[in-house]
Amino acid sequence: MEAIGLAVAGYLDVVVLSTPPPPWEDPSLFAQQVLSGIASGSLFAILALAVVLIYRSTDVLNFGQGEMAMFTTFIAWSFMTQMPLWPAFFLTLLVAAAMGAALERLVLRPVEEAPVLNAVIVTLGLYTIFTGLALRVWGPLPKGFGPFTLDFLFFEIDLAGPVCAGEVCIGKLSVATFVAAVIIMALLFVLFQRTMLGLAMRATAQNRTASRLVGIPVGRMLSVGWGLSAAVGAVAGVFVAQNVGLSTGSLAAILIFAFAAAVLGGLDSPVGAIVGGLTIGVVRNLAGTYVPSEVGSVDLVVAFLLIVLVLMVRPTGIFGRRALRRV
Amino acid sequence: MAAALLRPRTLGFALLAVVLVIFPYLHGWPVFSAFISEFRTFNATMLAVWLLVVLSMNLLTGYSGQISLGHAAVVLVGAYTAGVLVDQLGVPLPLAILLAGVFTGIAGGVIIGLPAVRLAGPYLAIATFSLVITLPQILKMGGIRNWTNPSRGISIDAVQPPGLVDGFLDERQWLYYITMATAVFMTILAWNLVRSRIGRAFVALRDSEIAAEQMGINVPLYKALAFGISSFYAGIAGGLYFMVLAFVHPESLGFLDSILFLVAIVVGGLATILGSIFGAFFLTFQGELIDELATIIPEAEKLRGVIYGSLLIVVMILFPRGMAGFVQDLVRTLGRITAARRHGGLSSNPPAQDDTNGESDAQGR
Amino acid sequence: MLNVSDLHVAYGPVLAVRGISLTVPKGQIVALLGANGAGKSSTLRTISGLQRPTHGTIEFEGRRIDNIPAERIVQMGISQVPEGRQIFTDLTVMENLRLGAYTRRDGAGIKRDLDRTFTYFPVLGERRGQTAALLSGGEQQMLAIGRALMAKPSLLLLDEPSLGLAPMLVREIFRIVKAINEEEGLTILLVEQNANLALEIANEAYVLETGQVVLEGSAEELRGNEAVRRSYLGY
Ligand SMILES: Nc1ncnc2c1ncn2[C@@H]1O[C@H](COP(=O)(O)OP(=O)(O)OP(=O)(O)O)[C@@H](O)[C@H]1O
Ligand SMILES: [Mg+2]
Repeated sequence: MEAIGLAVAGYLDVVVLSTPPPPWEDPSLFAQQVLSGIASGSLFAILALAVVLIYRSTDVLNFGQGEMAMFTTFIAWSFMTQMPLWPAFFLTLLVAAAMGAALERLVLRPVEEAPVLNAVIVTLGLYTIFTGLALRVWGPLPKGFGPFTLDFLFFEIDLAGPVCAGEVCIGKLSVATFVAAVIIMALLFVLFQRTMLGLAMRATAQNRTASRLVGIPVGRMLSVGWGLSAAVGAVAGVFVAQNVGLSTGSLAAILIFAFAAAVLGGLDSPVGAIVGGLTIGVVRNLAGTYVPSEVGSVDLVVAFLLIVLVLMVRPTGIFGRRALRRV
Repeated sequence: MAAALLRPRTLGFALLAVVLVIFPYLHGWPVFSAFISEFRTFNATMLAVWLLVVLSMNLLTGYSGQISLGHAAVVLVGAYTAGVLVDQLGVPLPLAILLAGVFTGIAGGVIIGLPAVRLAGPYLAIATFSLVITLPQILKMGGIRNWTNPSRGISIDAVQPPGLVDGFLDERQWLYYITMATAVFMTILAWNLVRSRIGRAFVALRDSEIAAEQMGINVPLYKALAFGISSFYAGIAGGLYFMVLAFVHPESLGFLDSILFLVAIVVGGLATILGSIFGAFFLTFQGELIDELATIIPEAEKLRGVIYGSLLIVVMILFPRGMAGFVQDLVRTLGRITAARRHGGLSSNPPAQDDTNGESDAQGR
Repeated sequence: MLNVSDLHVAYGPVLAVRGISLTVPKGQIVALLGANGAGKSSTLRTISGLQRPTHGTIEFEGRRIDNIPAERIVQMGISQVPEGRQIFTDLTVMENLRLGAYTRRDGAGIKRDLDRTFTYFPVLGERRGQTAALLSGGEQQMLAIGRALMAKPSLLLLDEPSLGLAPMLVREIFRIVKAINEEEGLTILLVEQNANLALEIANEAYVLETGQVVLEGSAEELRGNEAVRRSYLGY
């Protein structure tokens, strides 16, 4: 488990000054930290969206989410050695969606009626399976992965390098991550609030018997939920890997932050996942900067405390409305 | 009376006791030395430690239905408590282990148990997941790290047998006896616990909190109690773990171990003592089994994670009652066959409610 | 319209229904009466395809439906208002009704049926944007019926619509059910413990006991039947 600690400490952290001046004395440092916090928070947000998507549509918490995302990112990497960026990207999304749907059908459907513990255990099985498979197929060495140059026909955007306003800079990649998070959230919002498919998915998560009685093919909805979630997870993986490189541990390392984000947002709210992700990102960065260095690194502790605090004070999160079910 | 002593179960337990007592000497005996190496004594010692870990996990997750993905962290807290007590305060090791159990039990009951009262399954899973991921970082934080020594961990000299038994026992055998004795004692304790009012309350609140409440069970109290008792077991197990390995480090036990513990209770059988024993065997020998497998299928070593995961999923789907469920069904079927042969049989000992009484599977809701 | 013959339903070792046969003629209200645990809900669940029969056949408009999944049966024209209402409490009234029409693709028809539902249950129209959880028990029952109507069924299965409601409300709901039956010619299979009320609006009735039909006949016959009076009508 050492890998997790190391991987987290190894990236996204801005240089920690030995004794940082308080925010009012160096506002640009503060602004810089907030911005980088938003950058890393966007990563957490996308993975949190994937978590929320499955939870909201199938009532299962997927502990294998990070590993599935990592696995599909390796698939993207393999595709990219064969074809240009965009086809590889969309093909990956397709493969991920098919994989997610197939997993739901094969291993989650059989425990659907059983207590929630059984489903959690199955997703933990997925966790170790995907880690193991990725190690076996792609090996333990990190792979170079981006930042890419996006080709939009009429213009190109190189995601490498920063954009600056005065002293405060942010990586272009971070901006792209943030934009991607917002786009995914908007798409999910439209799906759930404005389409019949989304409505049927929400109904399925809530009451399966009633859903069947109005004619919703419940099994298909569950598969769609997993498929969509796996695709969103793949997007998360692609961005995480561009930020920190691609290795078997890189997604597992941020799963705790994604969970913290999802919990903060209420586990079933896409908007909540984004707000939660950004909050965790910023708080984590500020803690990293202003907590005295003698204390040591506290990024995980911050996530842990946030999770515990939210669960104690408001278990439905900030944006969650749903009452807790299936104890 | 004499007839009771000759019942198969009594005989079985007597035989088991004899085996446990003579086990560390078996490797020196003529026939047995052929297939039992001296190293097996260490295996058996670790088996005792894992037994307590699995029992602890089963009390919480199997019987009480509270999902814990952070059990490795709880065991680690036990190990570290014992370590710090010995290393920093010079507390004698046996006392340190007992204190580790008490401290972990209270901490688990109050710090995790009381808040957990309000948490439904998935939330509890997230909270305990984040605990096990975060604990190493907590152990490395300033203020604490002077005690925990994260860079090198805490190590002690191997435990020596006391003068009284010196000469009869070597270190390894002595370690085996005290660990195994503790484990056996606590297993019997757990056996009684799950059959007591408390144990039945645990099962009731697992099956339906609402129903449990209507039966007059104080749900928050019993939930916290489940965490407390389970953590006590985990703490003792952690203390013994420290004693046996004479070493502890912030990364000694982590999330993957938590998953392994879960595999152990699931494969062994949720909510059974027998299943916990199977689970302990699994934890002790899984590494060796996979190494063994690797000599046949070279890929096995690399596919460790895939094997664990598949095992977890396959067992969960096909045999949700684990090995213990399988054995119980077998015993029941055999019992029925013999009873049928005896043509109705004697009503004094109907096989169906013999040793499965009070043992219930996790599918019970 | 609906023909059930020799139906058996079991939950593991529990035999809930043991050889029920019944017929629901087009345009009529048929009541299924019986005490707790008699197997009434199990019968409805099996007709809807939520439960597979262990034996026997179910024919709907001349077609065997006992092996067809629940979602297809809705499409064929059988809607159920389940016991305990089972509305989607986290969704709005409108969303619940939209889901009722899940199997339909005729936008104009859906719109028309929505208006019709609001005419029968004006309160649903007033509360259309509200979360269903906030409705009162009676309103929830109306929503459940409205949702079932939105599928444009030719046969409506109603499972204990009176459950947990004040007598006044129950009367109101029964009145509306009767109105729908008369105005739209909708065929209804009605499960009730409240035999009195059910026999008032039903044309025919069956009485179940421990999974078997013990009495059947026209509503009038049953109202006059001594045994029924004593055990179900209470006078
Ligand atoms: N899911 C189930 N699992 C096991 N047994 C069941 C299940 N559902 C119903 N039963 C049993 O089947 C029998 C018939 O139940 P059913 O619900 O059909 O009765 P009912 O006539 O609708 O009763 P009520 O008036 O109380 O609703 C009962 O003995 C009941 O205990
Ligand atoms: Mg009923």
